[in-house]
Amino acid sequence: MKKKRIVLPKGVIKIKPGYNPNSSSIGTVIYSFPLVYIVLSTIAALLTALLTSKKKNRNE
Amino acid sequence: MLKTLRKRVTRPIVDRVRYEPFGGIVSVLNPPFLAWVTRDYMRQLGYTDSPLWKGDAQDTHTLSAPTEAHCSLTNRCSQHCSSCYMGSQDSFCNELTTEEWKRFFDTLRALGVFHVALGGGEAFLRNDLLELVLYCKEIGLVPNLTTHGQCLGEAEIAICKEMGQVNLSLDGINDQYHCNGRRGSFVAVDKSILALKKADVSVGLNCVVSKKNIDHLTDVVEYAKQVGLNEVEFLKYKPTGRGTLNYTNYALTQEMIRSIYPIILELGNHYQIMLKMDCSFIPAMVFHDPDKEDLEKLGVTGCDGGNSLMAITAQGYASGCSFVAGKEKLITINEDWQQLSPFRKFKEIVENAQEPCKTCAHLALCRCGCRAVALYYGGAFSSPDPECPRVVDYRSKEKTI
Repeated sequence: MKKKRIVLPKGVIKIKPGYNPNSSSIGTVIYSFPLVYIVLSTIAALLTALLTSKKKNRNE
Repeated sequence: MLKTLRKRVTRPIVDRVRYEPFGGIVSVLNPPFLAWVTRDYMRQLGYTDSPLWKGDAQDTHTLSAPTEAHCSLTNRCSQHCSSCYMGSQDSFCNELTTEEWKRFFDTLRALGVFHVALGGGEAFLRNDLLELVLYCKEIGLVPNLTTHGQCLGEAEIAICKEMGQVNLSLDGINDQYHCNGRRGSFVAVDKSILALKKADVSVGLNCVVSKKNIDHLTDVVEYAKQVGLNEVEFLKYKPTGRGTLNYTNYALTQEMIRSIYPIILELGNHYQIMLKMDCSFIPAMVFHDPDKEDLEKLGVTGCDGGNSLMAITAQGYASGCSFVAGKEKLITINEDWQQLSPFRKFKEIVENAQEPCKTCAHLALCRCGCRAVALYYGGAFSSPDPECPRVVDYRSKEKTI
């Protein structure tokens, strides 16, 4: 399966999914495919939905 | 994580938003994530322009405050592991009181910090842990926790239910549990994990990678997948605390450092579980030239002490990172925090970078590798991480010339 490029919605610079309970250092998500791609795509969709709903609320 | 995402695919509820010179950071709790967004995105969300937006918006790395703080609540730990990076054993006589910790959490909240990672020693050995955790939540900080997980009874599980996520330390399965000098037993950790899962707590593992267990990482990932854990975070064995004793017996060889990223990537692809590498492994990752844009979108960063991260010891000594000892007590911070000496030296790493880091294409992202490792080998604060493969190659070429 060919790894897909991460696409973020316009205006989103980067995403850090999850928490970092490790109290000694910062963890970085490894871009393993397709799981991380699905996680990031879903978060990206949520961020798009967030803007859409704001616009909708303003128009109402 | 994926399960939580599946449950909430409609519209996220924004927990908090923090202004930044480039725009802002949006924090969502369910599913949990932080998103760095532009000024335009902030405006579209309905936020008015900030005084922070007067200047240039190009630098998306430098933050106005940390996103997370690592808090060693006590030095006390019953395990006395021979490789403990904190050298934990007994409580310090002057550990912060409940009220002092609360004041520190107030400081973090005022700065705009989102998450705290609580640890020790063993945080459960503080009688006021629940009170501190509830206080964090009350003021809007998300508490997360690392524990050795050797003795989680009903009371401890109840505290864990208040956390964003709980990570347990696990370097190997069954007989491999003790590979890095860890005390206690795999059976106890396994029991705790099952109890936490049953209580619907979000659980992950911290796995310290050394030459003793690099060939057994598959077992840890397989176990995590089997019991349905959220993630496994791989941490490089570091020369701090009791980890400095017999460091060479545990430290990864150059060959191992060069192979760790492909190994973890392969495990992630095979087992389809979220895997993380800690910041000290970034030189080992960028050695393989992964897609730079993807790394930036995932917020991959090397030493980010004094920027997205601050750490505080049980006595209140602050630093940019838990592995670099702080010497100044800072419970309240009323000024430009990055200018305070425990953090400023981290901020200056890139501008003081030496060769080969100075001209390395990954400097902005890697930030000269791990400071704890560089300092262990006697380097200056901004000196290159001597275990970085690029640094090793550069120095060996220099020798031949």
